[in-house]
Amino acid sequence: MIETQEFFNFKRCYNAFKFDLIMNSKKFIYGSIAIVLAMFFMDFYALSTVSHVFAFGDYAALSSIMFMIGLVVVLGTSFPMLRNKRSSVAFLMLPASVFEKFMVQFFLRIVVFTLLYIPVCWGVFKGAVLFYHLFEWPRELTIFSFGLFDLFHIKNIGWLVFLGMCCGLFSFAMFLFSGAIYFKKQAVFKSVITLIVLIVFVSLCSMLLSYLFVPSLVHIYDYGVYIRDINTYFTNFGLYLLVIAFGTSLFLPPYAYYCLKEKEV
Amino acid sequence: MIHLKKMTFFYDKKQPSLFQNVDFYQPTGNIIGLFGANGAGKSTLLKLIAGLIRPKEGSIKVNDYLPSNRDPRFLQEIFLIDEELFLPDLSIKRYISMLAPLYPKFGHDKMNQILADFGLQSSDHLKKLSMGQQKKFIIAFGLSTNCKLLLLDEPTNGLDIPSKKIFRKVLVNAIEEDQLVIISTHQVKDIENIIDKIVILDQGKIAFSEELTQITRKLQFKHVFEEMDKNDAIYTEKCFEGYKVILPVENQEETAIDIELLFNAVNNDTKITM
Repeated sequence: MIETQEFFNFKRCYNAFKFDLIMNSKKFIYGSIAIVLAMFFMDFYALSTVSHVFAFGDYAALSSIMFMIGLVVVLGTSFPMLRNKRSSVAFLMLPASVFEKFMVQFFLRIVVFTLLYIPVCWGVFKGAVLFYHLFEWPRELTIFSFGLFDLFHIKNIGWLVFLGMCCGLFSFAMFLFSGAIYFKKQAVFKSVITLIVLIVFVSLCSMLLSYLFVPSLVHIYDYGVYIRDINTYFTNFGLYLLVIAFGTSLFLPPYAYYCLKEKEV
Repeated sequence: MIHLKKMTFFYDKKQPSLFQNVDFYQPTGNIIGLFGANGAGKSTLLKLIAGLIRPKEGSIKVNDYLPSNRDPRFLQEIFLIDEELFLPDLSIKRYISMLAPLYPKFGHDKMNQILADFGLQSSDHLKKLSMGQQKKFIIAFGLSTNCKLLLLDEPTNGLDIPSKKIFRKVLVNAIEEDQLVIISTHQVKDIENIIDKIVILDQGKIAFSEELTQITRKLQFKHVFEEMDKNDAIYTEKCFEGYKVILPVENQEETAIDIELLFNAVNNDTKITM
């Protein structure tokens, strides 16, 4: 009979969480400072190079790019104790279940990072705007004002697109998470390379299928054929991406868990 | 406590197995000396028991748990002191407050006592300690967890002579009847007075596994000046000013066990019938 104690115990999970926080406290502090500084300079660079108007769309694009880069760094460096043999032994022998160890990293690296990112990103941008106005600039720049949660205006993009974006981001996060467990050394770099290889592979497969079935519509690398609108915001290609995002977001969490469960030193 | 059943393990399929169909049973209440030549698989065996690697065939059970499942209740009852230590950049006090809550039977008084025996302060910073001091700290922590199974891989490496003496004292005082300690080492002299069982690994097998009381009852270890009749001696080894020999016990005369000689005998495929 499966006992819940085998998988989850709140006190044990809390102790494992405390262990991770104390163990990596310096990394978290220095890493957070580095991320905030990087965001500030990216915001300032964007403000100083944009032509005449900095609209909400610019902010949304900038914060999305920074979020993706942040995810790569934060999730690619998750499970830091698996990076070398000595600390791997200590991590695997830690008296907490695999599920608890997984959840501690998931909570810290995905949930906490995402929740902190939105206000921090907004605050850093406001700071960068203030800093921008300290200097004299040769051109007039209009910076639109927007609120903390404007990024979540679903009605602007449609709920299906929003769901697809969420699934896609989650899959991306879980892919990096799996990479951090699977790869021992240079997990960030190897995860990104693997992702690029996968994207190239899928593109090549799509191209090959296009050449096989609709050769007349394919022009060298241009194989984006039969794109049709499903509704105002959505095409069949969007649906294809949604299926991939949804499918991988279902597949990758158990895969990451399995990688951790089967980890050996 | 530990039950190995037809356990086979190899790192590389193309190489001969490190362990081949090993059967072994060990209940609690012992301090075991685990010996073997370099590459015999001592550290690997400890890792298999700890669940850090999985057997390729057969099974290992510890306390009725499959170690490789890493059940937290299993992990709460096992502590491995690896040859290569991992200690974070923290003070001893902080390390204890961080890790001790994960071991339900952790004894803070015991920890303080052992730290005092080893001359360590709770305010000491782990990264600033010498290798020997780090080893002393982790031994103190491991013993204070009161885990049912303690696996020590070369625990006396890096310890100075007085510390080795303290280690022996501390270990003997700290261990209870319901615990099992396995010490893997090359430093036979460091642990010969505290172990009560000898296990020797050779050629992918547990080639020898006997309690010390049984060995002294059946074997004699002598230093003679002339080579003895081959039929009398179980094993003979030339040494300075004569020969070291292992003989079957006669006249109930008990001698001190020469673990090195016994190890060499097993390593040279000598058949030792107990």
